[in-house]
Amino acid sequence: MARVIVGMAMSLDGFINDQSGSVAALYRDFDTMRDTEPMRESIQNTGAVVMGRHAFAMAEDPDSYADNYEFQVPIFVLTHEEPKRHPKETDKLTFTFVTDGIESAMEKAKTAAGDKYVTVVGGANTFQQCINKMLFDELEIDLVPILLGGGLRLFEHIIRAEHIRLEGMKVVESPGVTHLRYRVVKES
Amino acid sequence: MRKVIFFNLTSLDGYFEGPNRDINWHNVDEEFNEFAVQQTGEFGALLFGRVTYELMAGYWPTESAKRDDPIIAELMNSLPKFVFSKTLKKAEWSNTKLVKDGFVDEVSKLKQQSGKDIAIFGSSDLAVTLIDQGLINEYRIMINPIVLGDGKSLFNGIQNKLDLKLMKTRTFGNGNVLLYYVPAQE
Repeated sequence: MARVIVGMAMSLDGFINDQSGSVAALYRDFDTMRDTEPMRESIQNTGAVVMGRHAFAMAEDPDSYADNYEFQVPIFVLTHEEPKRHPKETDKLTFTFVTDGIESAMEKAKTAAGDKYVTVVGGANTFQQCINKMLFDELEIDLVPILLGGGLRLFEHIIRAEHIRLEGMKVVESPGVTHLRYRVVKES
Repeated sequence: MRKVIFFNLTSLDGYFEGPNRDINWHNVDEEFNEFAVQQTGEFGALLFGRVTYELMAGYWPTESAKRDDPIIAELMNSLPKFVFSKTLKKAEWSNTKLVKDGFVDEVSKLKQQSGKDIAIFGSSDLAVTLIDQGLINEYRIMINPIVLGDGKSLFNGIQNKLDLKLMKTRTFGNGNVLLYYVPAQE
């Protein structure tokens, strides 16, 4: 059964963008970040991707995913409405627009991923739904050495009654970012 | 010049305390205590805001602290301490000076004196003031493997962005990760 990993880049003070909405401070050197060991490992181990509508829309041209996206796997986009025109696909990268909620998206993605990981790439709202509904097995925070002082807080709107206990799996230092990888401790 | 080092424990979601000032989630064990003894021995003075001061002043001088953590209790009680508060009436913990105003000047003056480095534990409001004044030379943030969901955020209220540089990390057996940063321009 596929395991689900959620992760995002975050400033040391917990933000995923600054007060003007810019993510530039967190992704200064995107090419270097793409070439880190954790990223290569993630690309290799990912069997399906789940992303929110806003994360999907971050590509100006949705057709550009087909040739440029690092995850060449089935992609499941959480949305209220399918786009009018289906984006370009390849034999590996396909798009499924899921309009009936994150649980449904996760089930479909797990089936597609087989024994590989389902990687949830964000944005914040999708991340928070995964945390609140405990729809994840592992968590990776890419901690960027900057204090932003404001912006969108990654762990906002967490409405769970109990703390979520984690187990440290590994810490990897890459240039400009520290990858903190955890496994969730699910109390039975 | 002496450095000012800010040390704090946080959750992965960036809180240094949960609702109602809960810190029972602090993940501490024998390895942490050994680290704390060694680290506290590096410092020549301690800075506190009122809340952290009251918490610590209510614990370290007690008989149970001296029994359970004798080395740290001795250090905490004997080190020179400064509590920065406009509202506190007096500070009775041994070797403590109460500073009622002119916080920034007082810290700048302390940094000029010779001796071991200066630490701030907890005291997030005081730390935010000093961060904005560029008075903190090193950050040691120990991230505990837990998501609290709610609480008080460390660094809440800083006015300016601050670029940091990671110097080293230390991973503890219990899942805590200690990150050592310095301001990037230093």
